[in-house]
This record gives sequence, structure tokens and C-alpha cells, in this order.
Amino acid sequence: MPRLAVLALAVIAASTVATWPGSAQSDPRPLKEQLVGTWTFTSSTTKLADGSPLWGDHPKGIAIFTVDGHFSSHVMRADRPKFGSNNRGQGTADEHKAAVIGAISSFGTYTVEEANMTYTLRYEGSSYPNLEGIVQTRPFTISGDELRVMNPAPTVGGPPSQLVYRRAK
Amino acid sequence: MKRRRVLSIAATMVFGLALPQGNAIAQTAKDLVGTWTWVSVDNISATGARTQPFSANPKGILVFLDNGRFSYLLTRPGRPKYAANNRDQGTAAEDKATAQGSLGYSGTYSVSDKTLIFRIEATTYPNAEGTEQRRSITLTGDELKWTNATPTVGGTAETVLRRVR
Repeated sequence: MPRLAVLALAVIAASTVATWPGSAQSDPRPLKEQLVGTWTFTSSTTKLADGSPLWGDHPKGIAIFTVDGHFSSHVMRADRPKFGSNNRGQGTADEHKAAVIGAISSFGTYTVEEANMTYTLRYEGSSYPNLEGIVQTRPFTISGDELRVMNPAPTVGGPPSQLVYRRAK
Repeated sequence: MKRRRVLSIAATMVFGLALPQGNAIAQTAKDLVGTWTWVSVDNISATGARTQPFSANPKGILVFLDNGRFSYLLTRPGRPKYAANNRDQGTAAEDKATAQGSLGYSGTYSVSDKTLIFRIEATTYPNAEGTEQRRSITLTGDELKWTNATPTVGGTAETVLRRVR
């Protein structure tokens, strides 16, 4: 009987924790193990100078964390104009500007600091050259299939950005 | 863990049933799974001139995941950093160098008859969004070579990648 009661309590505790948004205790596995995989970009709180959302209303993107410590990420606006010449080497100044503002791709290696609930990105390269060589630590939480990340230094300036990803199946 | 394994076996069975001739295909795609880095990317123009638009030492990554997704980034290293240190405040020259010196793709991939097919969902180059791109591939040990008949800058491209261990 006491054993059953303990079990029942454990079940209640587990379900409470599981429904508590942002809880880090809902999954007993190390954070690194939870982070590894493919994540689809959902939203960012960063705004452009005119106050509109940086990535538009329907952002697209992905972040991959491999088990061997590599990361690769892409984020883009869905509403960028195509290059009129249909040649990446023959864009106009406006097309270049829209392409640069509307997309960013980066890669490098990462480590997870379990105790701090952060991961650290070591950028080896990026479409945006200023990220090359940057080391950046980001606090994050994983709750179910949702990954929330704080980017301390958005590449378009402004306050730290809250990013949300959903685990890709 | 056990449940996951059963699930993945079930998924494999469903996939196998849905694509009866997909067995050899899956085998080849499986050979690509992992992390790759660029050795060389040559462009050959219509007149036969060979150039290296991403330099002699292109930098980047290509990840093939076992879930059928890929992530691809090719950059020309050593590009000047944005003086404003803000991606929204690039000069025309800085933005041009970014657009011409980097190319990111992500989406899904498959392999069929020595042809690698990328289905591009997110990309730095807007014209590539939603396109399907084909590469003729040769895989030898840790080296992957491909030719691309329709590069985004015209001509044809010959690419060599090496598996990261």
C-alpha cells in the first residue's frame, strides 16, 4: 500500500512538472542529449529598425546539433524577392541587401554547460562574416518538443532575443 | 528506449512498404549520413574557364542526417567584417560580398542512381527556395565528389567534400 502511494505521488509530481512551461526537470536526460537533433525555427522577438519582426510573419529555418558536437543553422524570411537575373553572381544592390537582411546561415561547434543550462557556440563561419570566430553562450530550456533560447547579441543589434524552435520529426 | 526502437522499426517497415524499390536507395543515402567539409568547389564557365568562387579553401559544412534532412553552408573565408558590426547596416560592397561569398541551404535529401537530390526549404539565395537540385555523386571512402549541371552562378560546378571524423 505505501509503495502504491509513493508511486501515485510520483506520477502526480511528474505530470505537474511536465505541464510546467520551461521546466528543466521534465526530462531526466542530460541537456546535451535533449538538444541533439533537428529543430525548426518558430519565432524570434527581434525587430528591425522600423519595428517590424526581423524574420517577417512566416520565418523559415532550422538548427541542427549533431551528437559529435557540430551545429549548423539557417534562418530566413519567406518574403524575399528573387534575383531578377536568376544568377547569384549578378544581383543588384537592392537584391543583395534584401538577401543579407532576409537570411543568415552559420556553422561551427558547440558544447553544453549542464549546470548553467547554457550552450556555447563557436562559430567557424557564417554568411554574415562578423560571426566568424565568435564564441557565444546562450541560456536555453527544453520543454517537450519546444526549445527556447536566448541570443544575447542579435546580429542586427537591439536587446537580447528570445528564440523558439520546435523539434523536427 | 525500447519503445523508441519499436517505433523506429515500425517507421522503417512503413517506409519500406510504401516504397518497395526504395531499399537500395535508402542504402546509398545512408552512406552519406554524417558531417562533411568542403575540399574544393570549382566552377567551369561555358567557355571552359575554371574559377573558384569560394576561394581555393572554401569553408563550411554539409550535414546529412539519418532523418532525411540536410544542412549545407559554403563560404568564402576571409571576407571583411561589416564595419558597422550590424547585419542591417551593410554597405553595398559588404552586402555584395555576402551574397556572392556565401550560400546556405537546408531541407531534405535523397539519393537515387548515383544522383543526390536536395529539396531546398530554407536558403540564403531566394531563387533557390523551394527548388529541387540534382548532383551526380561519386563516393570513395571519406571523399564525396559531385558535379552540378546548374549552379546558381551558371556554368557547371565540380565539388569535392571530405568526411569529418
